[in-house]
Amino acid sequence: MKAKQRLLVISILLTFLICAALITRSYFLKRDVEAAAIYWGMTGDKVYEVQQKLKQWGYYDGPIDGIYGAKTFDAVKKFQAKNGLAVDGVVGKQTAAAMGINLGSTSGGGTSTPSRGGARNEGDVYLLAKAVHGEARGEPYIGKVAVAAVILNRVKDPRFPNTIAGVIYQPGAFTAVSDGQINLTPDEESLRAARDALNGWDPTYGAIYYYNPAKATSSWIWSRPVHIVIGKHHFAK
Amino acid sequence: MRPRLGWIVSGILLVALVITGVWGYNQYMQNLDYNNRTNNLYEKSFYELVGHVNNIETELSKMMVSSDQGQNIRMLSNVWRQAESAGSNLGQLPLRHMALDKTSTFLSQLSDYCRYLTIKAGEGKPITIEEMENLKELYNSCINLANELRFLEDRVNNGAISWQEIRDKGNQSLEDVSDDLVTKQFTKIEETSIKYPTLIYDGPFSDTLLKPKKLNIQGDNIDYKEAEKIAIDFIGKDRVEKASRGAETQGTIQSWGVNLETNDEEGSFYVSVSKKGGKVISVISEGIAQDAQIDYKEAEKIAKDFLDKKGYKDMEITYGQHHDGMAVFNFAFTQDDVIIYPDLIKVKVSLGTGNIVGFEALNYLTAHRNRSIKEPKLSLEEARKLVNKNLDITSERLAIIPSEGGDEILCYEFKGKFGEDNFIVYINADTGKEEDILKILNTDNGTLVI
Repeated sequence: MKAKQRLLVISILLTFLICAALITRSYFLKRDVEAAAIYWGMTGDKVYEVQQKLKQWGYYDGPIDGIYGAKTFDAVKKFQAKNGLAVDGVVGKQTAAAMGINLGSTSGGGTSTPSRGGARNEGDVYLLAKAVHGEARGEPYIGKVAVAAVILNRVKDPRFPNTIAGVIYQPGAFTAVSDGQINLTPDEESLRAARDALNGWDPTYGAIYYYNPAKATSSWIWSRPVHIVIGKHHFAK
Repeated sequence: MRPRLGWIVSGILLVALVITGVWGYNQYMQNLDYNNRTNNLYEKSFYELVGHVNNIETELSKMMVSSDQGQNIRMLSNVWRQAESAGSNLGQLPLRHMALDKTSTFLSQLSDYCRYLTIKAGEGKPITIEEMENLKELYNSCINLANELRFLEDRVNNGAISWQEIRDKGNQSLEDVSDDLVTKQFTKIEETSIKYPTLIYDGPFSDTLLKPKKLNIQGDNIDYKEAEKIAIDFIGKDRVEKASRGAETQGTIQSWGVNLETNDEEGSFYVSVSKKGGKVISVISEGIAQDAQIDYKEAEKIAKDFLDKKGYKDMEITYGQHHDGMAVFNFAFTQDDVIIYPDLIKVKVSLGTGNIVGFEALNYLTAHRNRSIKEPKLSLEEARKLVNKNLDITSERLAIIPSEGGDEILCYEFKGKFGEDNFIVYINADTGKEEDILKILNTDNGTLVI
């Protein structure tokens, strides 16, 4: 009886200690980031290459957009299973070698040139899509294009920073940036909206502000002339 | 038995308390660490801003007494660079946009104006008295700005200003009137000190360019019913299933919005029709990606035929690209064999269905007019001599290109190769100045111009 109880106490204590160790460990140790591998959530030229190869060989039927999403993940797993590799959906050393891809430097979408008007590369499309996804999820498609267009209009406006990243990450400018929603993976619709806006579509014809009248309390923003109302957002100049 | 159980329970609780304590302390330290880091970034931005503005003030004051062209170029390019950096530092401060509006414009215009003067001086042209007067006024504004910033700097230095507090206030979305010192100070700068002259020059922030574009369409005002009919005809009666009223635009570009549901797989369309004259300005659709059934060349022909059918004759394709089963083509107007780039129309075609899924003619509808193109002062041969000898010219023609300031320039357009790369060089047809060089990127997704 006594021995049993002691055992119980010890096991409870042990469980607690292990939990404590795990919790503190996760706070003290940074997760090891696997170097030189291509995995879910990445974007850039290398992902392009992977998608192209997989499509060529019939493993992949999604768009070749340089974004490692669910479809690419599944295709990589299929490829790994077929070729007797460890099936983990990550293009590591061995999988890359089997595909004939040189991992070398896995760059993001490339750097943008700091010119007014921004640069047109996949990195910019992706960043813009992230902002659209964070700010206008659930809005109609033109509402998404409009949000992307407002960001691009700000880049061109002397009163705002002159790069896409500068405008998006301006402190307090967008709520999705402040609360971290911008870090969600953008969906296809946001990517298409971002691309449309970069290609020159702008349903607001030059708006540089938008607000949700149900949430905005500033009398200043109400005083701006409204250009168009799309979904929940009022777009103003 | 009983007391022992009590010991066990309190033992467990004690352990739990210690764990929570350790966890909480870690959280607190981490929080403090992040707070410090963001605060440091704000401070860095602020101090850099102050530094840049001080340097600008010094350089501009030297400009006032210097008479050497070489010196001037050096100082102007310095101001240009420093004002650009100051602007980007300003954008990193956690202040409400309304407080920075004019300061930011001032820095942008100062940077841009100095760039314009640098380029002008670099071409060997003297800076005029009027331009010097403009600089003097900009200098005066700069002195005021620098003074106000120094006052703020003192406050930041002795800890009277906490960026964290300001940031927290700023985060309460767009609440009105804040009473923190920094915002007040910047608002004061806005109200009193920044008077910049109306700058007449040809740059991206020239005052003329800040005026919004206007549609150049003749005709009567139409009502919504007419707009709906125009929108349906534009997309094609056979494709449209349902039409409803969509978002209309106010302001300088006034248009009716029509939402259309189509019977094929492209989903819904938004068509914007000008209230005056009833022209379709743009078409946006959800553009759902489908497997490609037609190739890029076919899509190009579909886009061209569509423009012909809608009355946009003499349009020539300038470049195109495709993504996710959608191809976008840019067309420019041609007149007497001169290609006119400001008159731009974009057409988006679905490679799945071969249907038109996007259209954008705002540039065309604001820029297009009957132009009388003057005889160029330079002949083609004379202009060709001005092109860098390294460029292996493959084609040449006359073109009108938009300038940064919104004007139009008549140029000779030389397309050519240097090694593996393709370039387009624009030589001003009157002055022989090299106006622009573009590099053409032939990617898998089509042709891009940068």
